Amino acid sequence: MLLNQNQRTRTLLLILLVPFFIAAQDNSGNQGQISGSFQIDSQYYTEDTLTGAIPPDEDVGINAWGYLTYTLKDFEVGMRYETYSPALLGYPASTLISYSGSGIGYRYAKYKNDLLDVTVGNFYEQFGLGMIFRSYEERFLGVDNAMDGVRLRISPLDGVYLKGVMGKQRFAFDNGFTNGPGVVRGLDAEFNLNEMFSALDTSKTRVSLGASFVSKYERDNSSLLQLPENVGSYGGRVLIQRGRVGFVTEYVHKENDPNVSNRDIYKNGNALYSNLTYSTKGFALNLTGTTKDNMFYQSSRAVSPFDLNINYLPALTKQHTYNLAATLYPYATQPNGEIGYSGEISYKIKKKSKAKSKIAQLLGGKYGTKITMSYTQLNDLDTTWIDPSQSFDVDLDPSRQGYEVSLFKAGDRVLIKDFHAEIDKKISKKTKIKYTYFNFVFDQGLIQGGGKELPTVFADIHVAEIGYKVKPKHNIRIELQHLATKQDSGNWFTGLVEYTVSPHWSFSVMDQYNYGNVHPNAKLHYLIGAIAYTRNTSRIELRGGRQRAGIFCIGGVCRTVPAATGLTLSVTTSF
Amino acid sequence: MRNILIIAIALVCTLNTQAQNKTVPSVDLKDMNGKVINSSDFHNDGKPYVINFWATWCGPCKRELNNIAEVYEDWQDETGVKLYAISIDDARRSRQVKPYVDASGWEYEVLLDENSDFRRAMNVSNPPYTFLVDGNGKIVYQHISYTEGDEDELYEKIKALTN
Amino acid sequence: MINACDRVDLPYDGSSGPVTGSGTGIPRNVIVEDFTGFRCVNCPLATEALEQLEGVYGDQLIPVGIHMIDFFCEPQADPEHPGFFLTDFRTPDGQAYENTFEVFGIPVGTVNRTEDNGSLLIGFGAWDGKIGEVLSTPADVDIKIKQAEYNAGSGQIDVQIDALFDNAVDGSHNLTIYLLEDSILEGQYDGSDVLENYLHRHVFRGTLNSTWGDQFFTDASPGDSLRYEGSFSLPSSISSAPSPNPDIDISKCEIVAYIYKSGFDEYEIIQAEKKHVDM
Repeated sequence: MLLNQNQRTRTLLLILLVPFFIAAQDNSGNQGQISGSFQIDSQYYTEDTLTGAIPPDEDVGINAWGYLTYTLKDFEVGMRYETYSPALLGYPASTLISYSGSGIGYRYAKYKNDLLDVTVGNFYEQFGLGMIFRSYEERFLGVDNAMDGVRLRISPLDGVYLKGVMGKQRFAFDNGFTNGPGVVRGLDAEFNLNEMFSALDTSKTRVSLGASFVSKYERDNSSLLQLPENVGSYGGRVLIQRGRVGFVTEYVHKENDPNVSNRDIYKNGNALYSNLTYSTKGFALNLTGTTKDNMFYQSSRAVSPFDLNINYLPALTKQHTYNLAATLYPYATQPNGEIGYSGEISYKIKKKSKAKSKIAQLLGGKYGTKITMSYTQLNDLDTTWIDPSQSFDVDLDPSRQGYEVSLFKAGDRVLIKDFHAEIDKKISKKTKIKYTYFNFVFDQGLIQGGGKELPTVFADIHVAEIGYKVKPKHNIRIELQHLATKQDSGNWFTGLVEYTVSPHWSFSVMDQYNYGNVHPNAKLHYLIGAIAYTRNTSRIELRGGRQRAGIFCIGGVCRTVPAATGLTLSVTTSF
Repeated sequence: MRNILIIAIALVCTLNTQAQNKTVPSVDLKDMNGKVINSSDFHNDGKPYVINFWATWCGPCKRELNNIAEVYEDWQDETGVKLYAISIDDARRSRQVKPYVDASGWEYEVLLDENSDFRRAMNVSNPPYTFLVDGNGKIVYQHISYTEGDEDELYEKIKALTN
Repeated sequence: MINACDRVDLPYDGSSGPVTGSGTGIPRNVIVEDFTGFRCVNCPLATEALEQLEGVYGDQLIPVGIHMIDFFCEPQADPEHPGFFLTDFRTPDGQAYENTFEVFGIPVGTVNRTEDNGSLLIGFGAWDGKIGEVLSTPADVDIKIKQAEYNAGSGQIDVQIDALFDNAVDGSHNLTIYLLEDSILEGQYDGSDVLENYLHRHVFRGTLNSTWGDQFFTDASPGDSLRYEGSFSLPSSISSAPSPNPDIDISKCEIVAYIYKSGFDEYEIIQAEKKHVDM
């Protein structure tokens, strides 16, 4: 292991030195560019008998990333060095894998000219809306399924964009990234009609068509079943924009793909997503519909739903940012079956509105007012099991199709209803206010159950936010949040005070208080204080306090994120 | 830990030997109508411009751009500055960008970086992240994160370039 | 790309995977530790998969059900299911494994504690392939459990184990003895159902000779023969610690003995054997 480490260090040094050699050899005066960024998150843990937070043996956790790219004309190399010694509690997202040690987590070389763009090594890529293929990094969630292989992008004709990818996906980290067992291959073609045909160049209607094909290979090593080693999926999409109106739709079909997430059924998978927007100055309407069935698509049949995902199926619900609305009952997409819709409307009442209505005049005021409302609902699909006991016994379901389903028929089970309305107003030169109301109906058993059949949660959340300019460069922002529910852990109150001195300092204190918990010793304050100093591209933040334990789930499979009490130091910088 | 030190030292050496004032790398982006625009074509007729990375899911980003939106007209009148607002929303969420921008009444050049290619090329770890580029295409100032009032400092830097 | 889609037609049963079997030499046994919990809805899936594999691999497969993660297995009275979910299946040894192997979510398990893509923890969908891989080579050592007998007088289990080497084995190795209790009826969450009388098979009740076992040998040569013997008290559960766990029904117990490479951060099991406890 030690030798290995030395070898890695040597490799690393070599890579770091490459730019100097190149720079030295280029006589044209073009030295190329180096840029990079660093991020270090470290936590010091203490025991907390009230939350049951137990520090790990090391008492500390460190996650660090250093990213470096070197560009010379059409050529580019880059790498990311990562350290987990040990990883912060609850990191990464997966249940099965661990991140430990130090090493290279990502590296690539890329060449690009007018015709093509070729990358070898690691890369992130997405086809269409990502429903068929997306490799990406979401560092804060502990998700990274970077491809390791080859990518080619070609634009042979105006308006024609072709992409080809092949490689394995990043899986775990053990003194360097490790890849999963399966191979992913994909082709994507996008046709921008306006760029292809000069007659359409000036047309107000912009149209793009796209088609994708993705296939994964994994050896059949089962002693029980005959498994497909190659699983293909294909999809098509249409994007239209005409002035105020935009429309996009994508459909994906997946061939038989028995895997651990669908309990080894040989059914095909399907997904459809459509979105329509209408927007003009000061007004926007956004309507979306989606349905999906049996759409787990991973480059290994046997990993947790967090790992080695080939496709990307984000939650349809709006991504809320206020503490209580965002963290307690977040919806998670159910790739095995869900159908739903979402609508959002925003309207900005102009300043000094001349509308006849007194209310509109008042709301318009001197600075205008913005009102936003949204509603999302998702249900399960209407499913008929071939074997009603759902025992997945071959004798009871010899077809191994699992169930029959119509992609467009909703079942009775409501997974989520998410309503939100906000009003955002500047009332004077110094004062801004924002009020937001949320109403959730949340199927906690299915989304967060992790083993328990739980009652549906009905939650009402009110949030008032006030921003006030104390004096030039000094601002204070206060958030008061209240969540009321009779289920789960009962009522919560969150208060946040943030005082900022531009451009360097930020001080904040937040308290989440679970005053409505029925268990007296669970009526806890989760108090967190933070100080941040920012200068140009560097930011240092020190945070201390108590973090709630959480359950983090995808597709009904959950992992626990333990409670933690202690100090967190985060440093980011780039150049 | 030792490895981090090695990187840090190597990077510091690198910094000292490389010329300052980087330029904007060349990456394909899309405008809100789906038209491809290359970042190396960013320009403002010899006047400075701002590149701001944001996302519809990022609260501080939206606060920053909404605050600048209130004074953007004045900035443009006085200095001729232009702001490129680069959304790093993925291809799915980027459908919400145009409605959000329209409803908020922004006058920026809004572009989509759906695969975060430009974000990585510019080494932006987390949004919001702001670059100021001078009339010769050199990056002269960068700033990470946003606190209320930061736009005033940015404007001071812009004015210093135009006077 | 031509072969990019395989459509498998009926019947789906039957393997095209590797043929298992050890050929000549000492047949290898494989331990699958099924990390589980009675309040974990997806855990019966893993256990069922393991039972199916027992049908394929027979006695060469030694399943062990280790209950862990308090969220899923802490005993807690449930008014809707009186008398169930009260047994404490947690053990100090199991918690040590939970911490050492960084188990944050279940179901998951280990297969002879070998690594798969850099991880000791293996999802149950991958157990089959991994077991086949492990069993495809013969073992270097044979374990015979000569004696596993409960002495009612002393309340201890007398154990005598012989290890016979066919090939050289380098490095330091430990021997660990698990006590399992088979066929316990307790509650179990299963999908959206809550089952009251679920048959919990091969439940780990703790180790007899400490969490990581005893140092057994360093560097063995072909033809070597080693004996390990001792009398051991019954282990405790988390609630009953430090005294023996009163819930253990010795008539249903079996012991599993295994030898593993015990270097720093090494856990790989090289051979295992199981025997019912005599009374």
